[in-house]
Amino acid sequence: MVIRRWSWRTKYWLFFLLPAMGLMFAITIYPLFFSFYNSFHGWVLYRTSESRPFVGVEHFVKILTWPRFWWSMGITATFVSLSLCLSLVIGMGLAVLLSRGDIRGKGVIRALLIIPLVLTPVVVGFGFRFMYNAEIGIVPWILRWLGFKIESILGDPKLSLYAVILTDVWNQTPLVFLILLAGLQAIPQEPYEAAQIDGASRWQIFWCITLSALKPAILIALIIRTIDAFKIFDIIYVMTEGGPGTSTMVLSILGYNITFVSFRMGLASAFSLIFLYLIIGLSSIYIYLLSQGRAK
Amino acid sequence: MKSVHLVELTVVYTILGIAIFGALAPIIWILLTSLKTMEQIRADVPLVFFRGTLQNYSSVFKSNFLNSFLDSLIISLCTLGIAILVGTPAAYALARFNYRGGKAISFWILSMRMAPPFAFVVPFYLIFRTMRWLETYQALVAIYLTFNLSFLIWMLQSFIKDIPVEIEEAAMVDGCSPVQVLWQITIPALAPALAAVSILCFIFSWNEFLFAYVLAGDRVRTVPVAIASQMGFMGIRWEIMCTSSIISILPIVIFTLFVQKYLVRGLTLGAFR
Repeated sequence: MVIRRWSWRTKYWLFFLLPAMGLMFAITIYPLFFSFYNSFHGWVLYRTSESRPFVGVEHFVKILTWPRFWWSMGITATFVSLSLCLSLVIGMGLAVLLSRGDIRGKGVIRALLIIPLVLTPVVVGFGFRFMYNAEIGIVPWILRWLGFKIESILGDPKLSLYAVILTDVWNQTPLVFLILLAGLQAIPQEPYEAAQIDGASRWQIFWCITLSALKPAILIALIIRTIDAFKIFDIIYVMTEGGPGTSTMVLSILGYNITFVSFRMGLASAFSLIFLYLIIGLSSIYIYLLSQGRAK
Repeated sequence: MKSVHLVELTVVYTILGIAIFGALAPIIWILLTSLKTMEQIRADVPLVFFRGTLQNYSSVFKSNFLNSFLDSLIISLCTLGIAILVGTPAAYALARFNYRGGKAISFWILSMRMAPPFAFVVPFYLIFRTMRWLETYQALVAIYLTFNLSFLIWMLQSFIKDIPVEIEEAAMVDGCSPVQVLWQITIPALAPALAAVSILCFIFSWNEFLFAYVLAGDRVRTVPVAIASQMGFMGIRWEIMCTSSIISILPIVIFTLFVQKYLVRGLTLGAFR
């Protein structure tokens, strides 16, 4: 729905659009250009001389041929996919259960279930770090009580990633749950009634009707969670800082180390641009897939 | 038939109960820990029943931990205020007027919402360092606007498009200017959506860590940074950590329980746009 008075377009755009666009330009485009410029120059922050030699694409090459970069990429991908799968399964189950007609107290149940989502990630990270603590944490205690010989969770390179994934699942599953719940509530009743008249079994109903009607919602949840999980920083930094070793070094943590531990600003700029392109690429897939869905 | 249904219902409620337990158990455990002394925390068997004490809370309240609440509040409210002030007209313009660069602008706004915060840490740190804006409120407000403004414009744009334009056109036929239309017709109709988006923006600003940690430190310290800064070299004092965690999430939890309707609307409809 568009307003057709073209004269107003030009007259009022100054009031309406310019402040926002100006602000957005200053805080998004300018820093990115700055980063772009820096990525072609060497700049180490703690060196006192102001030399910033032009190094061309050396930084980009360095990063893209850096084994640790690809290792980090792998860790991030593992993190994203496992967190996503668990969230989808749990979120789907809960959404299906909560959208039943015969449940009372839906509002209360839903309100309680979304609490993990709104908590400060730093608090979530420390809370779980406490619970995973080898000496005083409750999780190792329970595991030992069950018979597993656990020395340390966050200090064990084999376990740390899974512990962190579990924390993220706890934190973010409510979002998936909400999206799927909304999707479920939007499904019309007629197909169900028709299927029941035709004598379909419950399982068949779920597979054919519910799941296919939920495809757009699942896709949306998938993409939002994928992009969010790729960016994760707070929880992991607070729990393990990327360690032990590099077992939980996701891309954000790697970038943080390049910037604030090594202080190599040129390299960091290049890294952040690569990271940005990666995410924008994923977002573009999102927009594309979504518009495909809309066209149907 | 009815008894089978009853069994099924019991199973469903049980599963939901387990889910709620899973969602709340960590919080309750941290809460219990905050009421323990260090010896009780170190007990061989995790104590569920114990003699509680409020000494941790008095320690935290005596420290300047609560100052960080003020800092967080100032920054979150300022960011929200600017975002609403500047973003609502922009969303209206983008929704109603057909600009040539419209699609490109929409993509740009969406990208900013999706962009990894890290991509902006490096340039912002360097820029603010030069501007001597490190450890200031305005630095964080500026950065949070990146996400909040784009998020707000993106969401409101869709919501405005849902409002039928006939009312506005009628008003304009009657002689209202777009400013009047915006103020008197669109915004009242937009109120619930605006509330939902505002809540999400506020929570985002409140919970943000990376930029707050990197750009502000001593003079300006938001709640997440205050909690993280308890990672001393001597290791973490868990009883204090749990206590300050509980103090900081209490407002969030209470707030969520009150506004959950709007929160859910904002999260889900935002997803479906």
